[in-house]
Amino acid sequence: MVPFVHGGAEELYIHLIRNLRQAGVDAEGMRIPFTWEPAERLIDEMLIARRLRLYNVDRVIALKFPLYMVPWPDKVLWLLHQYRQAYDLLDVKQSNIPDDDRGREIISAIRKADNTAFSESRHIYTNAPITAKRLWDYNGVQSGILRPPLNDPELFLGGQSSGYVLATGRVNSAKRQFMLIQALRHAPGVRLVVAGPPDSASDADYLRQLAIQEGVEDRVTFELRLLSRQELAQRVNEALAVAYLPFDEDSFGYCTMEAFCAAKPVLTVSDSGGVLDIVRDGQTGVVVAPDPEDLGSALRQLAARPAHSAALGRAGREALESARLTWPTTVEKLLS
Amino acid sequence: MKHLRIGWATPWNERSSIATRASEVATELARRGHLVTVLRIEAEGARDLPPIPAPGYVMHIDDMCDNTLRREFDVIVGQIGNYYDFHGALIPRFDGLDIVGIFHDVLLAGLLTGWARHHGGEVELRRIVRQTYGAGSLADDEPLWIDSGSLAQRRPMLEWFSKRTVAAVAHAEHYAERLRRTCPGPVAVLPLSFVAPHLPPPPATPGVENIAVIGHANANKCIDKLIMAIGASPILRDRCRLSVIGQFEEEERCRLSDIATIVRAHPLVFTGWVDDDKLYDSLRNIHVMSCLRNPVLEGASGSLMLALASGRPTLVTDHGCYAEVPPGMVLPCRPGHEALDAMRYLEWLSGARQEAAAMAARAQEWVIRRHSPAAYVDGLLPLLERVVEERPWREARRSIRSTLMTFGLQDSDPALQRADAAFDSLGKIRARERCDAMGGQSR
Repeated sequence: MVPFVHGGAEELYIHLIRNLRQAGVDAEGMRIPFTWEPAERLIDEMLIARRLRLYNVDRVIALKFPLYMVPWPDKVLWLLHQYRQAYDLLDVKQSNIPDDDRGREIISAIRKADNTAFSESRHIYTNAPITAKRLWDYNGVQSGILRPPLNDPELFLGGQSSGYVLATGRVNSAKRQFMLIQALRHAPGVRLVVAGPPDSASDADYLRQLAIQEGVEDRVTFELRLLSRQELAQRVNEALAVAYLPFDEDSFGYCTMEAFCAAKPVLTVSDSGGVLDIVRDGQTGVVVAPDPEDLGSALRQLAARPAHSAALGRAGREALESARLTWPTTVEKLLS
Repeated sequence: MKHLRIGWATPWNERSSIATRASEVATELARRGHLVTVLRIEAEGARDLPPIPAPGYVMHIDDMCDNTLRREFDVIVGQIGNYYDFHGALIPRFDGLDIVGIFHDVLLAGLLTGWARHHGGEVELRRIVRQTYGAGSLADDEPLWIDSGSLAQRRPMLEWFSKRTVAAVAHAEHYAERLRRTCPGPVAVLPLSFVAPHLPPPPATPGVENIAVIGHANANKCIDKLIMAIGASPILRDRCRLSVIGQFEEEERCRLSDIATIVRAHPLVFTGWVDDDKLYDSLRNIHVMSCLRNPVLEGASGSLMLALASGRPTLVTDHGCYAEVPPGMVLPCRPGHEALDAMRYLEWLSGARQEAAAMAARAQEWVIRRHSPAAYVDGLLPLLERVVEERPWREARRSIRSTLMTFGLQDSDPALQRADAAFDSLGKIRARERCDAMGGQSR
């Protein structure tokens, strides 16, 4: 984990430590600074991770690149994701690594170091089938799937809808909150609340400008900051539905789980990746093409049929419960 | 000063003249309280040659792994010479150990070739040559082996070895700069250690000049030129007799004998390899020593030391380590003009016995003083102490590099170069601190 960066992975990290302690384990978190720019720096980052020396530890549970390279004889990986720009994102030309000889050397170094780290691990879990598939496709490494549970389900109890659609999670172009704002033009009367920390000031500015540009600023509420868990839960519990449109997400996504825990339907798009493992169109939510017009149509339907929306939400809660994602069982697996 | 635990990696048999020199230095180090353990580095059949007496334990380097060697010794000193059978077991240890290299030869292609016989053959050798000296150093259609002079000039492989050492010792200035350019650590120039044995004085037989060439009868010893010098002079033809004291190949013996017949010189005497006692005994009848060499393939010459210590006038070719003898102590022949110059000197000798004897006496006094093992150890110890002092820095560097290489990165990778640059700057800071501690005087 990286200091001063906060997202789903960091939430998971915090709650993993908390739940390990609750299980009677003396657990410490380990965060190191990390940057991926320029790409050349990635080698130095791997070197730093690889040169770390631990002691007085029985088991290391490693989550992310490059810290999972820390040498330790009893290491279990719970792989959230590798450095995807050296793998699948490279294939779709979304990598920060230059497409030249040096870039290829860096990629080769990352893959070799990854393979060493994987081969040293006692067991490897991944957070989603797509992560497991990537690990197998690119590294030839088998893994078990261990989906992260919701961290604080007691907060997401659901409640009466106040009629707005809520977009949660980190705010950036990959999470595509902008598409929801564009969709509002095609969904007259629908209100949108965007609540979450922007990756940068420009991400926030862009959304605000876009709302004005689209003429929907009176129907969008921006809460562009890191909300407390209680604040966030309140927004979710009072929402009509939660919209979550990440591009090719690995896992269900916390936004999805929080919504379903609160019995709220999820609106997503057909290229959202692991979100689609639990959000089924017409069963637990609405799935449309990543297009403002289609999204606008979906927003209209959700708002026009609140009872149906609530039913989708309840089905979502059941789907989440049937996945049996709890911290005690997760911790047990990681310690076994 | 702390007494060092020294791993003395060297051939250790009586056939190796490097072993003799190494033995003299090891004895002096031990006399000063350092713990010297001989790590034999002979390969193949030479491993079984009987050991010479040692001032401490003797074992073969193959009997200890890198970790053990690192743990057991403060510093490892490796004697590097151009004969695989005597030095071959040292080569695989360069990657894992910090070795202070004592470079006895400039041309080390023979050593590397011997190693390559078991590690990839000519293909690997060609790759190493190009890696060391650039792609243009060896064309695809060019034979690997060319005459030794060109080889020594173009691709002696000295640099391949010096890059792998942590500090280096040269025995003469003529190749020290090459080591300074490539060895990552300090380089010292120390006159070759030489303990003058009790050698018989030159004979007082008027009207005769017996000339000796000592060592393996290689082409670079200019024996053919010496024969021609003798044959070309009516004064010398009858007076001079030439002995080759050392190993020879039959082909070379025939070639040299044929030349002697053609120029009507006296037939040559070939003794074959002799031990030291026989060598010294052979000198009883010798008036003049010949240390002509072209090209110069060695760092310093034990034969030259012996010749000067024997108190006999000595012919040398005026280049390499042979040119580093002060004026007025040897008979210097111009490279490429050895025959003509040697003829003139030999003719001069026949009429200038007293001047020649005085010159030889000056050289004898000089060589015994300058080349003593004590003087050698005086120069070697500061180098070893510095290597020991810098060991933590080097080990950290090695460790970081090895981690980067587990990522599959090559030596030339920018990431390794960045790490090297960081360590180099730390080294410079250390050097400055050392200099400051010594009151601003650089070592």
